[in-house]
Amino acid sequence: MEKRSEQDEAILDLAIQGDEAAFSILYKDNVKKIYNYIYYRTGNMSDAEDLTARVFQRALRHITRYKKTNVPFSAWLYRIAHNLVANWHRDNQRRKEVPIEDHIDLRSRQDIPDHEIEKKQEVEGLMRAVRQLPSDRQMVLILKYVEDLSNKDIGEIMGKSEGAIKSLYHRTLMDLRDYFEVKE
Amino acid sequence: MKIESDLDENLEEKLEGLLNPVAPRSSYITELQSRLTRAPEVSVEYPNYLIFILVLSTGFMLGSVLLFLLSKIFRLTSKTKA
Repeated sequence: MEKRSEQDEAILDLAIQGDEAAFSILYKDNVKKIYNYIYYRTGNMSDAEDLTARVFQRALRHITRYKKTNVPFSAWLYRIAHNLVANWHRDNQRRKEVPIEDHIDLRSRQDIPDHEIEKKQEVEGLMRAVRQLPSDRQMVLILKYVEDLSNKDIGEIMGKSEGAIKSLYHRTLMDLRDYFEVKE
Repeated sequence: MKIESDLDENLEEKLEGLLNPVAPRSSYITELQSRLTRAPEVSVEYPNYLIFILVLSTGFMLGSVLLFLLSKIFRLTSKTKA
């Protein structure tokens, strides 16, 4: 992750002072990242849209209290998103979860060739396994694969060292492997 | 050890194929942006005191005229009785 340029610093300073145009730039730079994170944590588009909106509304309300550090601004947004997703999971524990793939594939199973069904089942299984991981491990996977960030950058966002992220990632892979070994 | 690393690579390939960036609807992004930056359109309506005074004074005048007419009628009827 690149260090903030002077222009980015200026925009952030203006946003902290309550400048809406500056906040708008920060919004544009971060909205897709936050949406992706929430989308993979919740598994559906409508909740991802609702929670993303809440993240930015909360950020706008509290930006004047934001304390500038060396950590990227997105880390603050991810933290808000992480808390909102945790609340969402707590409030919706009893609600039935609909997999992402169910929204995408509208064809009936009869029309799909066998190898596609197998692939689909494998994808569904993996997604289910990912969702059963603790939230910090899900975050590592999302930041690593969806955002394509390095361990160092993930560490900056999550407030952990590069080594801690590396070991967290390996433990996550081991958990996923165990999940599939138990299943098989 | 070799098998373990092969399994991890296989799993990493699967994760790479599964966890791809998704694009939110562009209409959603622009709509949310305008919702965040637009000042809420709230218009405060103050009571119209002029109408209130007009209605009150008209009522007062009509009441006075009515009272005057009634007292006149009352006086006329009491005179005719006497």
